[in-house]
Amino acid sequence: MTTEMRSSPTLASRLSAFTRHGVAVSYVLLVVLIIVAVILNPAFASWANVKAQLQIATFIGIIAIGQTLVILTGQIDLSVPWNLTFSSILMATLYGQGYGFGVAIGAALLVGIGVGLINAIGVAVFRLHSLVWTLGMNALLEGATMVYTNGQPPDSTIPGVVRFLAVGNLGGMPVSPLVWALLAVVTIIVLARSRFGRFLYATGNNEPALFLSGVDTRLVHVGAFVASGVCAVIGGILLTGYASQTYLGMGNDYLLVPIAAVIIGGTNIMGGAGGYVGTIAGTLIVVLLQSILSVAQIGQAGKNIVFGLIIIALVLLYARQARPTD
Amino acid sequence: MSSHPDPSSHPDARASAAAGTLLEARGISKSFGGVHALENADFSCRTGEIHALLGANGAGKSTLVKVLSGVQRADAGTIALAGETVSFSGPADAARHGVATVFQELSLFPHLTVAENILIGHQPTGFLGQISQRRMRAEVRELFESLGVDHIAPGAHVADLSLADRQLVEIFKALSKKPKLLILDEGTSALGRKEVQRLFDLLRKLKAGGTAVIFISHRMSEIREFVDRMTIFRNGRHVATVRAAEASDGEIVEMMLGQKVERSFPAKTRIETDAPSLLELAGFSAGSGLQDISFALRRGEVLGLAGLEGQGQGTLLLALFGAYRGIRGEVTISGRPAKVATPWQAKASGIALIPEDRKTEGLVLPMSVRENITFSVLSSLGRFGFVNPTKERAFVARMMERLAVKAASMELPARSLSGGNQQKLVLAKWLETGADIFLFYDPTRGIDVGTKQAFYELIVGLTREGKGVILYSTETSELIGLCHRVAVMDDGRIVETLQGDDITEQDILAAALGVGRGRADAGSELAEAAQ
Repeated sequence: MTTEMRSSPTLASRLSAFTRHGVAVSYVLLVVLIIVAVILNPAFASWANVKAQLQIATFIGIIAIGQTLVILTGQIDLSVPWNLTFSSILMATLYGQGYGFGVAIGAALLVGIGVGLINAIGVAVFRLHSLVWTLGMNALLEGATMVYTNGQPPDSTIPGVVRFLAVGNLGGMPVSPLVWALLAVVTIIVLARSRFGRFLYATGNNEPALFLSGVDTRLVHVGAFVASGVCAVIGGILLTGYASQTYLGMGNDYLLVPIAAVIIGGTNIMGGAGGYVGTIAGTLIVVLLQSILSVAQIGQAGKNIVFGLIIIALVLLYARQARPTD
Repeated sequence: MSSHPDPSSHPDARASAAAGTLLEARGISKSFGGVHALENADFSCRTGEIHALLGANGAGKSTLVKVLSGVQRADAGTIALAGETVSFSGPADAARHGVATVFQELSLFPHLTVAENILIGHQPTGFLGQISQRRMRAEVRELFESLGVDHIAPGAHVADLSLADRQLVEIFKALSKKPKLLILDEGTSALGRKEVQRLFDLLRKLKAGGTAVIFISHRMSEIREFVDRMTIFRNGRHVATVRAAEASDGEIVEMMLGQKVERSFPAKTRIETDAPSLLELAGFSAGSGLQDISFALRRGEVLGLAGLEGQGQGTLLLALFGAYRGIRGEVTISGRPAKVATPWQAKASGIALIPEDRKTEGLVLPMSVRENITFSVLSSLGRFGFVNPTKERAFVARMMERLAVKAASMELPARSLSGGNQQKLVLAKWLETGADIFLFYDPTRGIDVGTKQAFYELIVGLTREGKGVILYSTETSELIGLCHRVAVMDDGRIVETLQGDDITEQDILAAALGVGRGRADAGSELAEAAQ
């Protein structure tokens, strides 16, 4: 009894010291999940399955890049689903109408940049919370998509280069995870080493202090939201190549799952702390989890319950350390 | 203090109060990591006395307050309240025992009303158990009447109050628990002279009712007139407890610092008569808070801003730094018209701001010393939008050395530094931005005597380099000691500009109160009354 009573506070304090590093927690969780998955089904470790999992992780991981940057500033981007859908449909339709793939992809990227700019203007100029503003933006884009397609499933013609980026192989390696890896490296370097990265964290922690340091914090919001808009478009283009088609509602699964990946990866939902290294683990965790639950024959309802519980548990765990200790 | 108007502070009255020791703390020790914040410290206070607790930063005052108020548990030692040994499980438990504390950091809810804030946690309820707004306001109105407070409305939102009034609300919140012992940690740091006077009038009433007050402040000269006894701490230990009338300022500072320190101001920089003007304002206005401000600041000059709290001094500094919208008037810098509509334009025009609240406006507390020092100069520490870590570390090391910032490592969060060192970080980020005009908003608020001295040297050092300084301070002695001219503000206007030998406490106060120089006698009477 006595030893138990003595050991419990140390365990708690060790746990809290450990959870101070959300990134570490997420990687431990990832390793545990991999072990569980392999025990459940040894075929999990097969190269074919790893490739398939990475393929799915790519869409979530790329969208989560933008979401990580936005969440670091203490905001959120809820316009991802219909930004993704509208820009992908636009790309496929333009290509189908005989424009070159450069024009088609360029137009899609311009949509992402424009959406990001408008999101940033709402937050940085009108000082509205992104939760409301980007949700409105999402509804607006949904309406625009309906008008553009007359509510009919669009005819999709997919440029070859998009197919290659999404499902192609390069020396035995699938291309799309390589695209993700490249973007991930750039993101991690930008967050760690660039002025923009530094200002993202400062904005999330205390925007007035950065403003009174003579830094134009509006541009920080522009950078984060434009990055998120562009990432959503890139994710959508790859998804289009992967599915060989565009469809209304193709973005619906890419709102909460990338946000979950960011939070599971240890980025503070209130902004100011975390980073993309954690989001990578978070992304792999959500993908693995979906896969394990499918193998375990758990339906969509069950999956949602498990996801919800994990997010709540992690937010609780991270909130413990977020409290000021002094 | 023969002029002291309150009979209860008469020596005889004090002797009778001495009979009851209310609080007795013995052998208190507390360490954090390897640092001993308190080492075998003793402290006691009596019913019905106002007791000041003094000490330089790091002397252990705040830790003692945290232990006495139940926020932290001592590693060793005993606390007795009215002769009974107590051990508080937390601040709420301490409050149940009659110990209420107002901490340095304000803890109000800005979007709730004054009444809601004051009664939070013990709101009066209606018969269905719902919170009764009506009874709440009535209760607070009653409290205000008993304390003679008439300038704060119970229904006002805290966010709309000045920092000084917010601090008062914080004190009322503690008083609403009807404590036997009230502890005020830096309770006057945001208050102007008049408010300090008002606060002490209030504390005297409490004292007459038998409440003991422990008061912690760096503004020794302002509070010593009001307190009965003072206890001085140094390096976590009790040094002495003296009657306020018995020790001189110099002796007390000596006891705080442990060595004889001449607290004086460095010599003001001589300004050449033909020194060019650095900054000129003409008809500078911002809404109703700032009206028709015109002045010229010369190279090497320190221009002081004085006046009662909240008369537009803060607005002027923020507006000059481009943090206000809707500014009218002309700004000329070094003879050329300048646009300062945003902080980045102000920065590009060579203006630097040390804002009012270093914790919320000056620093990003969770980020490191290194990151905080470089926010304003980051673009010069690398290329193509990237930061060169070697350059950055070298720059930070240089700044820390130049300002003698005490931090074990530049990677520590700014939060972990003492107030004085935090303020140095705020200044450090501006020193190499090429700024010529430095705006200081009460830079020495809540920092210890030694660091204040360092700041005086730094400010004069800037003027020696030909920079111009605009300094707002709530401590009149700083304005007298540092400024070439002092502009006294009232209701958003400059009502008087004092120069040279005319910068005296009496003249500043007379101008602030609008009694004018023609009635200098009235001014000096008021100055005495305020002391």
